Amino acid sequence: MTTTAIPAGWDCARFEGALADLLEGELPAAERAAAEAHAAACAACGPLVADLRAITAEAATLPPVPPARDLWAGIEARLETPVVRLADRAAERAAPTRRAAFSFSARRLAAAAAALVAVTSAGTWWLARGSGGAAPTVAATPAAPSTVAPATVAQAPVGTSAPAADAPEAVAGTSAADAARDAAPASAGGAADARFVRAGASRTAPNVAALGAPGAAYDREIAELRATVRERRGELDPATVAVLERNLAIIDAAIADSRTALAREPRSAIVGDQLQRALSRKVELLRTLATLPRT
Amino acid sequence: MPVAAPLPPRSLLDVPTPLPAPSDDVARAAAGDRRAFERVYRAHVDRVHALCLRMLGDRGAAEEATQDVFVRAWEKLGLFRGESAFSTWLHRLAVNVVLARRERDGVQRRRTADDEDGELVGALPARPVAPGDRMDLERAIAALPPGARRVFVLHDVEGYRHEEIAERLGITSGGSKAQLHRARLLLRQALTR
Repeated sequence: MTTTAIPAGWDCARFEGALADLLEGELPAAERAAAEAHAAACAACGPLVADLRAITAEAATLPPVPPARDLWAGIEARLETPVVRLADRAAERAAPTRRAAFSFSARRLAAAAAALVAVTSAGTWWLARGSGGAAPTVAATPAAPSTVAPATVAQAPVGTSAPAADAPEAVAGTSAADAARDAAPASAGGAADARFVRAGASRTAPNVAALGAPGAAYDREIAELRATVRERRGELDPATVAVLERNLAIIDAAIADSRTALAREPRSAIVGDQLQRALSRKVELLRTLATLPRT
Repeated sequence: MPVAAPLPPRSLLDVPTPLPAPSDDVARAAAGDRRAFERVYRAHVDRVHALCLRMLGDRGAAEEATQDVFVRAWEKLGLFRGESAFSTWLHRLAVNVVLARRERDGVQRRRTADDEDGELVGALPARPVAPGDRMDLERAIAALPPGARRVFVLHDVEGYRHEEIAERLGITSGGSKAQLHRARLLLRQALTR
């Protein structure tokens, strides 16, 4: 019968003192060999090191633990009410070079946006009056990538002498925000961006400049509406069409300005929202025209 | 006798709607797509929650911290550059959130003689326990003193090195090793009772 000899000078106290380093693999080779030999021969230290190694091995394989309840609703609610941190505002104030360029484009965009609102309000009022009937109700389509911002479709009655101010549109069916959110995942980005803007300009927003999927949804909607308008061109008053084209040119200029600004400030919530609003108004204007009664 | 139109080949009927690749969901979420972010949440919540639960030792606190992690991830997704796996990035963010929570709550804790910050050890995961099963280790981890528990979870469960742990916890590397060894011995003591 052979017995394993305990290395000379290695008692349990010395072993326990070296145990942490042994488990971490930090003992020099000679000491490691001696410690392992002691553990192999010692009725107390052998199980000790074996148990500790087993605990370490099991800890490394502990599984993920799902929460007892679905936490998404609480998370989503907080995503919809972002908070602008003071640190973000301070960072914005500390970037004068970027801010100057941003201010310039912001002023230009603000002017374009103001003109856009006035033009689209006047344009939709004029179109509605020119149709000879009640102002059209713009129906929300399931694929509509509209935002949660109020629409600018004027609901001016016939005979009104002044352009109607922006007013919440009476949308048939579900709310536009709900339809957009449920039917077009890409449009959720637009709705989320509008919410970012509500929190303030200096919020660090996702890269709206990409507008990958949401931008594509707008492009598809606009392309479809343009095709409808082209098909109906013969049914519409030429003067109406001319007004439409002028308004659309203004909107397109605002869109181009927004995209240029976003290329410089991809995380700007204000510029992202400006682009979103411009695209939304373009869609609304085209929808209005597409649904006008025949002249 | 009319002949019914043949059914489409089974392969066409069986073609599932392809789901976006996980990396696509991260990119979409970074662009503001909340539906994509929800998919990201569902893909990673279990592991994030496990980290929070084991680090905090309390189910309610773990749920709150888990929500904090994903809200923070939403805010910072634009900063994820793909230099590491998204799960790694998210996990490190979770560690930061949990540790920040510890610092924020530190002034409200009562000091005890057994650990450095007196954090209470809370409820255990709500699962039945059988002798010798893996839940014994989970329960034993939850019962560790907070400092030892944090180091053990970060090192042996999550795989962080002592240098990283020391930096995040504001301790020395040697202190981290000592806490780890203490944790392992306490766990063995609890599991062999």
